[in-house]
Amino acid sequence: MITVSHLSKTYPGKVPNPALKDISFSVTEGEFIIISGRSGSGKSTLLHQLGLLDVPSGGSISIDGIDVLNLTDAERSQFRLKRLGYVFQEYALIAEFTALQNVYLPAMALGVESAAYKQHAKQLLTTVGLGERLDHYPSELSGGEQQRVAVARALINNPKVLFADEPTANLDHLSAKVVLELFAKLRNETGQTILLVTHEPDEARPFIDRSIWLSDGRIDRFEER
Amino acid sequence: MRTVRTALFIATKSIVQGSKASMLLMICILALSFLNVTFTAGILAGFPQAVYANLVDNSTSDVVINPQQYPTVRTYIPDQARLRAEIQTIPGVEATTREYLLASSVAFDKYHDGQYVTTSGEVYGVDPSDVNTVLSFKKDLIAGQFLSPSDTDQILLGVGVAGGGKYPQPADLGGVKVGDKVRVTYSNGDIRTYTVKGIYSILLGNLGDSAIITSREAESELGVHDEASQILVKTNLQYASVDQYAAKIRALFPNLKVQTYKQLLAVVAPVIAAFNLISYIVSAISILIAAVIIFVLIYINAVNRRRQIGILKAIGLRQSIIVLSYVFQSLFYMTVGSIIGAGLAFGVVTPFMDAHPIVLPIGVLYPVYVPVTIAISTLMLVAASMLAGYFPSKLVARENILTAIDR
Ligand SMILES: Nc1ncnc2c1ncn2[C@@H]1O[C@H](COP(=O)(O)OP(=O)(O)OP(=O)(O)O)[C@@H](O)[C@H]1O
Ligand SMILES: [Mg+2]
Repeated sequence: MITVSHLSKTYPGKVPNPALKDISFSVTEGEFIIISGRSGSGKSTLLHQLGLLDVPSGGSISIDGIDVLNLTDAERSQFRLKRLGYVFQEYALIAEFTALQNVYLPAMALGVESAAYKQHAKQLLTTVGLGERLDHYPSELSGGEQQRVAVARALINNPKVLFADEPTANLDHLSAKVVLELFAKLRNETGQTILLVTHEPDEARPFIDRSIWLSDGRIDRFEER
Repeated sequence: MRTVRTALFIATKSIVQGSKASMLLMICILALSFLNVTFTAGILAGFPQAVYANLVDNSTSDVVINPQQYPTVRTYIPDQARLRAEIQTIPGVEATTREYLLASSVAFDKYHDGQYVTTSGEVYGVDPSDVNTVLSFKKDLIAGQFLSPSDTDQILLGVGVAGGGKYPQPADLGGVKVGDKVRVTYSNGDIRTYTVKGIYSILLGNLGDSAIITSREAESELGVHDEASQILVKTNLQYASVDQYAAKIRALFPNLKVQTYKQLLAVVAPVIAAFNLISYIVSAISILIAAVIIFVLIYINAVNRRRQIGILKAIGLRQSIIVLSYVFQSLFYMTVGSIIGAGLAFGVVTPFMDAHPIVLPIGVLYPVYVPVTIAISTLMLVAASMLAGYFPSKLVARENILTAIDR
């Protein structure tokens, strides 16, 4: 499903910062993987490259058989919209939209029928425990609530691959468990491929297939469950 | 379709949920820009109108009939009463009057010491009973009274001749008052003394620098009867064009010289053309300024929404949706701004100008709103606002997603 080979990313600057060095791994369809490592080890950077939000310095990425680094800008957008879901570490909700609108916007852009996407968005928000918060604006939601809205938004277009950057970081154990269970359920029911960055691999361990450990921009080790 | 729908949705939400203060500011500035564009064009268009109206009202009227030029040049139009009666039968002709023109000089002994100051000027012989149905200078009387038909020893002086007005002229008589006596020397050598009955002020046209006597007195001086140096015709221009009236009169009297005010005022045409040019340039500059303001405002708006734009891109929205949503937003601001601007122009400024007209020496200056000009400026402002929505958002949308979201 995903093949990464010799991927590297160096942030330019006065002192260029090699945040990713020669990363190679592959993920099969329907796998639920966590990426762990210390702060600054390059987890977010890796996910950004995989989620087509940034341009790596070297190497290649293929997702669903497509060499994604060779896509044009417009093709990348369409690819993200249709096939990828992305939960940002910093939520990235649109301040001018309510929770519900944030969630259904990607479906609207994809051309889904309005009644259908509203229904689906409500259902997703209810699943993550925000059924009562549909019409709240991000500024009226707690960090954890915003994070769950971001999770629901990432799932609205039934992406083949879901990237989530510490989606449970601000959640209590119970809420975190709800989100992880939701991911696991999706994986089991629809065969979604999931890459999840987390600081707390133990919490996620019951649900996952494999973990990748990063250290200083390199893959330190793989761990099978 | 979904592009439009999504863009519209984003635009609406951004406007409704965006900062009310900046929205108000934006609409306010756009409304004032619109007002500036329409009002500047209007007042500049009003200026030549005022000049024309003044000249037509005070000296030419709509159609002027002069004596026969060919085969022999005549000084006067004979049989003027019958001729005018015939002209009056043309539908749309509202009134006629005739004038005698007498070349002369006017002299005044201000200090009664035998020291006369002399100025040359034409003396017009008019019919007090009907001249004011065609020309409007009676209202320009600043002292004394208008002539009566039977007056023979009374004269009206233009301030340009009398002097002592707001605009003294080098060749005037230095301040003649109503009741003073002036001495007029006609070109045939006759000298007659008149009492000044009134003084009038007309700054455009020949009349301001002339004197006026009754046609009765003029006929006695010239030794003619029922003739005229020229016949002035006032027409209803709503009914037919001035050229059509002139053609009809020419058909009636093929040997007379018939001219329209346009032909007579051909000398001022270049001035008016220059004014129109200035008007276009000033309008173009105000439109340009308005466009730049719109551009800057929308750009600031887009830059302030970098994060939003970054998120929209991260979700996978095409750049075209994002750009279109900003075009919609600026169109919205422009439309609301224009409507308010038009409301200000027609609902506030125009009534205010009507209540407090700008009175210039040449007449009253009103803003003249030419629909075509307004349509063109509105179109240009709309185009400017679309570009203003397009380029800034395109610039911001080109940015790296992560840097846009981070800030
Ligand atoms: N935009 C950037 N410009 C320059 N350096 C960056 C940038 N973003 C991240 N880095 C650097 O790259 C390295 C990896 O950062 P990254 O955000 O991927 O770490 P992380 O593993 O996600 O950490 P955390 O657990 O704290 O989120 C760090 O040294 C960081 O300082
Ligand atoms: Mg991180």
